[in-house]
Amino acid sequence: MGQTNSLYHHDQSAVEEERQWIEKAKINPSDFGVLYKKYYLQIFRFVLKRVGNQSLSAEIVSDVFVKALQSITKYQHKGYPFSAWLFQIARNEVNLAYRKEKYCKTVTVETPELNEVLEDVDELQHEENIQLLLGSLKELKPDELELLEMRYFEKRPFKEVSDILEITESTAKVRMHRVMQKLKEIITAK
Amino acid sequence: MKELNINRDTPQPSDEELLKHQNFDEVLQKSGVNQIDYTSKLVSKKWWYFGVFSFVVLGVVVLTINSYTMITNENKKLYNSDNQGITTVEKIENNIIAIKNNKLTVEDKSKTISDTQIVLEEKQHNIVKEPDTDVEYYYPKEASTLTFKLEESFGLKEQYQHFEEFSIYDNLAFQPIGDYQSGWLKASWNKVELVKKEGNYFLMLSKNGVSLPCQVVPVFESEDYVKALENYSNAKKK
Repeated sequence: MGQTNSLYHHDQSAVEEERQWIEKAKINPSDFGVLYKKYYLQIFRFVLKRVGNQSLSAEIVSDVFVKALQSITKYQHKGYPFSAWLFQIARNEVNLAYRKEKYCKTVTVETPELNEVLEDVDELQHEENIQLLLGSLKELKPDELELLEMRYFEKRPFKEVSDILEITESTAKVRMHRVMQKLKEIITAK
Repeated sequence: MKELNINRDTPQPSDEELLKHQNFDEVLQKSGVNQIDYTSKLVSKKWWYFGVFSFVVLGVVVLTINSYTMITNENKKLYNSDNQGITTVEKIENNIIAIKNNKLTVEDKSKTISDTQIVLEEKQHNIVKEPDTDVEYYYPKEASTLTFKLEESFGLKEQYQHFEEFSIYDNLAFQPIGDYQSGWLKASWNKVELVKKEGNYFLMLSKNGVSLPCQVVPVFESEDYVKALENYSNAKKK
């Protein structure tokens, strides 16, 4: 895989600075504004890619930060970045909206990313295979599609994927491998 | 999967466009939290810890005071018992248990006689009361084994003559019950008191604030026994 989400990588000073803001926000909710501004776009794009509707996404993002603010006093650093905690909340809110049938499940994808998937399943990168691949996405289970989205369409490193899904990195890798095998089988069968 | 929308190569909105939806005040308002709530949560948490800590400290202090008071009272009881004599069966039983558990030992054989005892001895009179018809006198028993013979009298004669059933007798002796008690007779005591409880007689042997109950049987030795029998029969006749 090529480029990954560089925003996930913090140096130690950035982590420490963020921790200070979290502690401040625990005492004064107005200080949460700094974290809100820092992660607003990342969360918005995460939601928008899955919801496909900008106004509904804005609503969900607002709920994400409301939940985060309400729970910030309980937040404890568990070894993964604060952003992963926010993405966990965002993921839950997106799933909640989906269960309420507020939107139709959406995948936002670029052609180069689809080619990357085809390359990794040893299939030729042409339009016919892309169409087969897009068709096979519908046959994946929600958690399998989620993994593929995060890893290939959003370029998240396995560490971040595992943090958001609250699984180990090796489990994420094993699951990803199985998803790719399944895709290959579906494409080959067609 | 129900239905899947696939947005392929659709242009994504710009950051500026997305940031138009940004409204932190709305988030603050919707969250329903404010600084006072946060502070009160933290303060209440701290107060909770403080409350628990205070409760524990208070508990420890109360327990310490309580145990100190108990120890003081125990000492006071022992002190009182040394001066006034133990007259309740509970104390006797407690002491018996303590003796059986080897908690109390008396090894000091030094001879000390308190001033009070000397005075008591000086005041001791060899007076035998006239028999009373209403009184049921103690039927004399002859001593069979070791009797309680002390170098000092401890005013025992005066003491037993206060008991109506012994009032017609002279030279009454006391024979301990139980082997373990006989050894006590070899020790020296500061104070010896005769106590009666539920028909049983005890000699309370006291020394250095420790009192030991020694159950005894009032007896007469050979010649005294004959005389005692005479006294008894005379008293009955009257």
